Amino acid sequence: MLEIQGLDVDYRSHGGTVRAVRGVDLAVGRGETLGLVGESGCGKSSLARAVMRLTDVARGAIRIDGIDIARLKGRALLPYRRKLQMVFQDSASSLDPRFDMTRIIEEPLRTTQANGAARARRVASLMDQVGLAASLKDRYPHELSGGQRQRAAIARALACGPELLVLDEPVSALDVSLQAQVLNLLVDLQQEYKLAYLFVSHDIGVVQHMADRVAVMYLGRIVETGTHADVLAAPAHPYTQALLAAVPVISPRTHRIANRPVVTGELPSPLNPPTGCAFHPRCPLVQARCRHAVPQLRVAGEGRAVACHLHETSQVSSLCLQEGLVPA
Amino acid sequence: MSRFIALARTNPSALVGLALLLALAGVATGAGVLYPGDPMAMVGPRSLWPLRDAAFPLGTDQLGRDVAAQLCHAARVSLSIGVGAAILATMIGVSVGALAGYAGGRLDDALTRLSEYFQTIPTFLFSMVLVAVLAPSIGSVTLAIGLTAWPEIARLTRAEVFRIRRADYVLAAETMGLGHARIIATHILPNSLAPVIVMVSAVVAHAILVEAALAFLGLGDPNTISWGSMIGNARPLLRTAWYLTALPGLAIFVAVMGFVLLGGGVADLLNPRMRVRRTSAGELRGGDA
Repeated sequence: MLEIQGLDVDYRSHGGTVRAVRGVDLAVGRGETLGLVGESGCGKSSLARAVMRLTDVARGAIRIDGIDIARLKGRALLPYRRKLQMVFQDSASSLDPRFDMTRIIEEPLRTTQANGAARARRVASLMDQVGLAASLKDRYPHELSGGQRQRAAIARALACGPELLVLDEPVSALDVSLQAQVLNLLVDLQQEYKLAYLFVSHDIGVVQHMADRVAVMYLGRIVETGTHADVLAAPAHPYTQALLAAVPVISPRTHRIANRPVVTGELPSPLNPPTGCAFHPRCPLVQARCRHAVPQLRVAGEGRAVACHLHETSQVSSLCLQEGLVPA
Repeated sequence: MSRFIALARTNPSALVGLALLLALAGVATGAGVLYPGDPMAMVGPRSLWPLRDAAFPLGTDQLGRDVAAQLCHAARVSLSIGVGAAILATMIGVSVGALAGYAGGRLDDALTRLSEYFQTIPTFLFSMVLVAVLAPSIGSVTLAIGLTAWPEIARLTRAEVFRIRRADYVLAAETMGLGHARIIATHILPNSLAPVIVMVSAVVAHAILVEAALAFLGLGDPNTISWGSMIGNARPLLRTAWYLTALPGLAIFVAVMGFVLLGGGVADLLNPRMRVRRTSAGELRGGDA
């Protein structure tokens, strides 16, 4: 239902133009979850905001059920706005501190439902669905816990009956014990309403729990996509391998988190991205052509695509074995 | 009401400010009842010091006019010009600031330049010229002060709106398809006006001072009396009858302090975190019974 094609998002700053998102192609089907993974600053939030039309799109198309909304404005955009809703990372800042729960959740209903009693019923049923006690209905955000606030944000997003939710790090600000509860709530809601999710996260572990398909983003570009099982079991791009290797695994004998080779160095500045493959300065398998030629995202098997020069000749797995990046 | 009690407990100075202003407002509204005659009429002996005669508790001036009656009637003029000018300045300042901060881009640049341009004009001279050109009257003095006081409010409003504009809850409202006017009215202004309201009370205080200064220089409405014109009239007698300048001076001080003290309290009152939760109030009542 959501199809993104050749999407570019640029930010102009004093230091020049930052190309936050570059030539991204993605699709999310009805009832499907696409996990979008990458480090902070890789452009995944810019992509999410562009889909929600909160940032301007420089180039490319964002299609909802075949209709390009990338350049729609004002009233023309309105019907599509209601099909897409967003849950923000920090529930403390995504809820107006002057609104109580009832006002927060009924706000999107005000434009469509003029009958106050009907709105109140809808708010009550939404609160019930997301697991908020009815007694919380006149509480203000600062009187609630982080988990309760995020549930309220989810209820608000559901209020106008969307078909796709953009979840921008929806559990990153929560305690681990609450993360699982909120993720389970999202899974339940997805099954009930056949919702599609664009699930943005830097935590590949969380994405593992949620996503049908995974897209890995690095410095504005998608470097690998595929089904959740394929990408996690056999990562093809060196960056994906590094991300998976960075998931902490506690070894029972050593008491310390196992020290595996992971990517070193910082994410390069998007103001001045490296030539060739953007990952080459940090890549353990870097070769001469990686420094000048940008690798294209190429189909690599069923529902799978990788942007890596090495993968074209499928040397990557054997090289990785030699380097000890993946367990044999 | 419970919020008001909480405020009184946590912020006694605001309560003092409120009490001062209520007293002044009472005097101003009751002036016609307390002193029904013309305050400019010569009713007693000349230059009578305060507390010498029960009929004239605050004495009389060099022409035998009752100082207490003059002060009460002057309070009407000074307070209404102060409040009127502040309302005018707030209406212009909040509109300009909200528009600039919300729209951004070229409109923001243009409006910011405009308010900077107004700020570079020496405001007191500008007010004087305006009053002189328009002929002194309550309306022209209010206009002159209001037109010079708005840029401060516009700058502050713009900065606050600019900050709130980028808050996630405003973005969320945008994704719900709410219109710009609605977003500004329900989300942006309520969350950005608290510091502006504090400043408005300072603007009222400032306006009262400017009005006094204009009246002192003879640029007040010649048909009415204000604290500033009282000080102006008593200026030649400063050495022999200093009470004639000190009493209206004290009135100006009380009014200005009242607005400044109240401003700080209103900021707390508008903070949603200061709200006393209804349920906990109910629990308290239950505990008492």
